Amino acid sequence: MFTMKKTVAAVGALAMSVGLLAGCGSSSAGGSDEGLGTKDDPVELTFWTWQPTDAQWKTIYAAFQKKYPNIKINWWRTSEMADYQKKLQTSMAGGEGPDVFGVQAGSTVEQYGRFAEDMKDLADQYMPGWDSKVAEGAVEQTTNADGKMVAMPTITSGSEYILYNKTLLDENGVKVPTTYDELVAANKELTSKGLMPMALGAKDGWHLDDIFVWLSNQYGEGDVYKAAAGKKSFTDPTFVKTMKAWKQMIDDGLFQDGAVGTSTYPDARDNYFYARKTAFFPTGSWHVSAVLPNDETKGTAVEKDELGMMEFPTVGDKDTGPTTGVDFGLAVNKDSKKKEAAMKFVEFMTTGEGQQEWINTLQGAPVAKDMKVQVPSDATESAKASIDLVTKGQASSKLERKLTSQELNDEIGVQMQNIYTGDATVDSALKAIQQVSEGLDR
Amino acid sequence: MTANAQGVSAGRTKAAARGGGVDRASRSRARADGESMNSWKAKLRPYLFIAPLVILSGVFIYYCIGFTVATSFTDWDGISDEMDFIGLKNYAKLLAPGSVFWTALKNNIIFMVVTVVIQAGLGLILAVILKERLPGSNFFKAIFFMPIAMAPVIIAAIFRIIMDPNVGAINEALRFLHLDFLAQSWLGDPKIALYSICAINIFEWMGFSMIIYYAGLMSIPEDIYEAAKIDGCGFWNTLFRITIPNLSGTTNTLILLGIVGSLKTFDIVIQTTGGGPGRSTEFLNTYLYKAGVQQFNGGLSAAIGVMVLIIAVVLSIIQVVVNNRANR
Repeated sequence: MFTMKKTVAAVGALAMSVGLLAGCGSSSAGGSDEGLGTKDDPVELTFWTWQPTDAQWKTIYAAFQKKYPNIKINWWRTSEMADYQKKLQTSMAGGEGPDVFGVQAGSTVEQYGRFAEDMKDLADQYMPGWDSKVAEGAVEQTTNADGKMVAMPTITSGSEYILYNKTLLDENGVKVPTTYDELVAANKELTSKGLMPMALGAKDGWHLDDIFVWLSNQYGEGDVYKAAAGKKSFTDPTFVKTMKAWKQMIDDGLFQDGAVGTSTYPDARDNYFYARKTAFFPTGSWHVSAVLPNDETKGTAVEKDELGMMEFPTVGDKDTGPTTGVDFGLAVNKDSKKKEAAMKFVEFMTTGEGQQEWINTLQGAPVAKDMKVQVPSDATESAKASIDLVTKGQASSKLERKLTSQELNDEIGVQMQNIYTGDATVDSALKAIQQVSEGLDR
Repeated sequence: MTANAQGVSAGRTKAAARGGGVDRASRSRARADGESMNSWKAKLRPYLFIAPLVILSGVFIYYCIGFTVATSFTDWDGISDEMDFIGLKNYAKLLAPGSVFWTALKNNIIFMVVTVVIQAGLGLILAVILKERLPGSNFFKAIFFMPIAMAPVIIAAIFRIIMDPNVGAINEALRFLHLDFLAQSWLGDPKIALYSICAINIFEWMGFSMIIYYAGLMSIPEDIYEAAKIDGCGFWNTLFRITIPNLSGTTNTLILLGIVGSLKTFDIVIQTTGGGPGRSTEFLNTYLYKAGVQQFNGGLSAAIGVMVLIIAVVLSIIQVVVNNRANR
């Protein structure tokens, strides 16, 4: 009897382990669409993303619930793009992705394109007249190399901008610089008074890529996109001038000590700019939100200061202005059985109230052609001017912010760091970038 | 034999005494069947007991290793179901002269040697001091052990602030002491960053070495120390001739764990330098992560994983062989 018990226990354990493993299989979708739901039986969408922020989502979702009470959204977010990508990558490979997911122009559009339903087909069906309302340039950026529209663009943002502390500049008798030479002079003046130079987060490859693309366009407009497509060499004069200009910026003492060991967020922002140690913080257009009263600056040393945003003054031969890119687009999973409800959400976020709510937070510039940021009437003059500058700059820019190959982006970042630390010359850095470029499968 | 079994056997004897020849024959046949059944069951039983573990480890470890090895010969992007065989292309890229792999390997080896030696050394010194039962030794034991209970991401975040070149505590303290020339860009200078990461790792794991050594020290019989004392052995002689030789098993364990741990290092690096500046702190695992997750190069990422596995196995074999020879 005792033996029998042992055998049963062993067989049971075996059965349980097999059962456990059987649960690992992926589920497949199929069947008809669930429609828009009813009061008693609402549709539940899953939406994974890295933005909007928690506070922004609260307002956006409340407005969505008001308009579509029968569509519930199970929202999951991590602010770290890399973490988001990791989760999406694993679940997509396992066939268990969300109904709606966020993408950014560049490599994610290419990589996750195959998991998304053709957004043009969906939009034609569920958002009639969408193509006259959404900026064409933005749509191009969420269309992959095969010509499939992967996502509906939602907001755009670009580089390179500088967030400045007007109060701190005034206290030190320094005017807001408008040219590169004025910026260098202002920086010197401030450092002589005990402040730090501008706080650059050069540890981040993404930030250095932003600077590289923005800067190189000033020496040869559009050359960087040709080089990224393998139609031009990264050792061409445009890029030699770009890297020399980067070196010049370093030699001019524009950035703080150890910039390549400092991340843009949170270190350079919180430890230096919000701590009032510096008056300048190079960043992207998305950060213009700091010029209005907000949760981010609350409780910091700059809470009561007047902040503004300006375009990074032109360093090169030609003033080509800032770059722009779809910072966020919404893709619908091709396996989703809730496409109609998902498209209501997409429409809400692109041409509806969600778009207005979100652009009012200044997280990005609108993709809806007829929408404008509603600036609070009590905003400071610097704030109004900054928001106007960013909105106009983003609307008029034709230069893409991101290159599509992440391997190439990484190498550009690494080599710019090497030039910063003196571990590479301009020539050796560009040769290394070109070598990676030649090794890409295009 | 249990009491129950004895009872059964006694019952059988009584029945045999009462029963005739026919019964005896059928009983012996039944016994033979039972025995063969029993031996069949007996043979199967151990396999049934280990089956859950074999299946689980088979699926979650050995299948994954097999899958990784197979993937390393493909151009898989890490997410799609498309996977083309490309032979040794990933390995050729990995092992090409001057490739990122060699830089990462070099960094890993420097990190391994520095951290394993210093962690063990400091751990031993602390354990020996704490064994003396000085006032407050338990308090210090807890303090030194505390970093192990902290999440690496928190340790990294704290050190990022402490090691900040402009407003960090280390440089501020040095400037206060008029030692400005010692103030460094701890995480932003490619010549120093790797050693800064070693220091953070040592801070995190020194307490672990200390506790393991402390446990080892407790198992050394006290009479050996008493005998040494009678023979006039001083502190250093006792340390080098009694304590350290008696702790060789512990040291070997720590070295083995240190080797494996250093090959697994990822969190501290990605949270402090992210592998930079340039590639001065690129580790095998940060490279693997970047290739697989950020660059969508699952095939190359798998090839790096295979190389890490091979290095771990080779180093562990060398360590065990060296250890066995030393013990002979």
